[in-house]
Amino acid sequence: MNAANPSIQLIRAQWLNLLRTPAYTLPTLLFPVMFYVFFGLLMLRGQSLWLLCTFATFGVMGAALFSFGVSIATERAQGWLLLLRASPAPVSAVIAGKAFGALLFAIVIVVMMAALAAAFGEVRLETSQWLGLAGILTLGALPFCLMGLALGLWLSPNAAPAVLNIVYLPLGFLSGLWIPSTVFPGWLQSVAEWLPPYHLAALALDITGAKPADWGHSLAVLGVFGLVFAVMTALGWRRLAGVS
Amino acid sequence: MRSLYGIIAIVLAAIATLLLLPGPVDGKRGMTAFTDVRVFDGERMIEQATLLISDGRIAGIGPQVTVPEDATVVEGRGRTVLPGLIDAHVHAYGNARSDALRMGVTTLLDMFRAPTDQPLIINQRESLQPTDQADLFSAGYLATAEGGHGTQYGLPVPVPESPETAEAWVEQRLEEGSDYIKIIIEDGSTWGRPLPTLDAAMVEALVEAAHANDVLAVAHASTQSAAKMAVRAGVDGLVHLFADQPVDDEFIEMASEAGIWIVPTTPVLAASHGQSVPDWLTNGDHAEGRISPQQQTMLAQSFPGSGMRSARWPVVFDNIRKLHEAGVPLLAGSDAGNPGTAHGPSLHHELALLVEAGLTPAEALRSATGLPAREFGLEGRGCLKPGCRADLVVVDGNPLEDIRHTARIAAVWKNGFPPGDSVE
Repeated sequence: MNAANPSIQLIRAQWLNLLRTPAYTLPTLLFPVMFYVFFGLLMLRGQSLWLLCTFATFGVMGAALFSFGVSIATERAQGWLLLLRASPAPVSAVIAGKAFGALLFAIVIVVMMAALAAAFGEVRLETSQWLGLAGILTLGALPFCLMGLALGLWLSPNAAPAVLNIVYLPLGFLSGLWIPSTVFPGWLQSVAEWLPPYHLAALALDITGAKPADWGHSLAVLGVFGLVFAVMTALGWRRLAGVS
Repeated sequence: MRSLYGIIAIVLAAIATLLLLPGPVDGKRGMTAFTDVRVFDGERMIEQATLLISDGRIAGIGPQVTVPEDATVVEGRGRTVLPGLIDAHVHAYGNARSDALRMGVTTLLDMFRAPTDQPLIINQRESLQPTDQADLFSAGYLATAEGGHGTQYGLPVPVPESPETAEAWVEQRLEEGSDYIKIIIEDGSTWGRPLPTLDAAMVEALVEAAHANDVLAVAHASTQSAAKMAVRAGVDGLVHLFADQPVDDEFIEMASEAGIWIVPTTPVLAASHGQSVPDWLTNGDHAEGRISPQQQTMLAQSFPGSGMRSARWPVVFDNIRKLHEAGVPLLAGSDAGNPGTAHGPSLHHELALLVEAGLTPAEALRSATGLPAREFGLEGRGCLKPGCRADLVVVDGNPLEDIRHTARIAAVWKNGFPPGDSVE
């Protein structure tokens, strides 16, 4: 093994970690897929394409928030992060390892849902649209990775899962990921338009031809959102030294 | 390095899965060419034409169009292609949208329904995805007096309080997604049951508020005097024909001068004047699989007391003829959702009744295609010209020879998708 590249080493470690803890990996992958099967394929027939876009956004966001948030908070408490900080591995490598796990989850979730939508929801898309959907949602996981990271650095390990859930589920609902925001009352719709998951879903809906989106606006919202949590991450990382 | 291979394998497997996922079936989003077919383009009939559709829209039309090699060819000899029909007066609830589509009515203009799902409906009608539903435009809640016509159906109706609050009332409707404003002027006199109704000042204020917001104001009026009040108030159109009196010269002059249009809704007038739905409509070859048993039940119903009004039935035809001769645009509408009507078949009934009253078959076809599209500003609808939506009805025969041929439906295409490929 070549020790010269710490990023690859930490990605490898993360990969082994995921492989060796199937009790964590499998439910995280299957939970959003199960949601899509219940709501998108069984309950609301005829809306499979729309709900594929929104539930895949929901799944990707969950994978990003949880694989970062909870584990970072725990590892911080265990002193593992301090150890990493003391090691020659740069910060970027630590984050790369985690981000890799979240992006891998994202792509697997999107592909599983896409396959189910095609098989049971009669969703038909051009190859470029299938690839585009997976691509945008995988990349779109990044700002949520930063959010998970920032929360993980600021929250205690006990608080992290609880806080993430209370952020994750309402954020998904209010962004119209479970029920299309188009059927929301007017005031709730205007709330949705301020939420980042709404904009990631909007891009997915645009790529699949379900609803045109304003790319500049949506990317700007996601960018600003990512930036805010990048700053919080940086601050959280600096604060790390002071945590026992 | 083993784990790196595992990671690469997963990513490659994911990409391979995506590449293998099904695309739109060839021919559906490729070009389709209808050849050797009569085509009504929304204004006139083109004989022996070729009609090309691609990506859910019309790509070419005319006798000179060449068929690309990769196009799927649909031989159309003996058949006529019409634009998807527009019903300019319905109440869409339950299965209305799928019922209508089976009979080639691809756009419905609703004149009163709860607006709760309006944003979704707007998304759906802007889409070119496969669907088994007709597209819908709607007035949302109607403007009526407290306890007036429209409040008897159990839907809560927000009532405009005074001319001063008319603008706020209209803006609230537009916020809910209403496409136009419908105003009720109905004192109940034709129904033998007095009803509270909006007064002229209120109607004027509502019309003004609608126009200030760049939407149409349309009125329900069932008497000549109510119709005159509506025209004076500046409405864009009447969504019923009155039959309490023969149309008088004053009304014709007012209507022509104001440039209003009228939706005669003859099928609902037939049902309320003791007329039954003709057998060719309910028992023709098309009926099997296109008119459901529930729809047959609806078509067989009549309004209470309609027999007493049957003596006035000839007035309906006279009024249609006079208005038509005076050049007042007539837009086909059924008022489906009411007894004696059904979404889909009743629009074909309307076309036959308009021809019976004196329109030519081509004029009747325009009344359900080009005219309503023009008056309601429905872009890409009611036409078969390059760029129009590929919403179309293929019928056996030639409606110009016999208007009843519009009901002899061979196929309905919606958003460029052939029948049977739409979602179940």
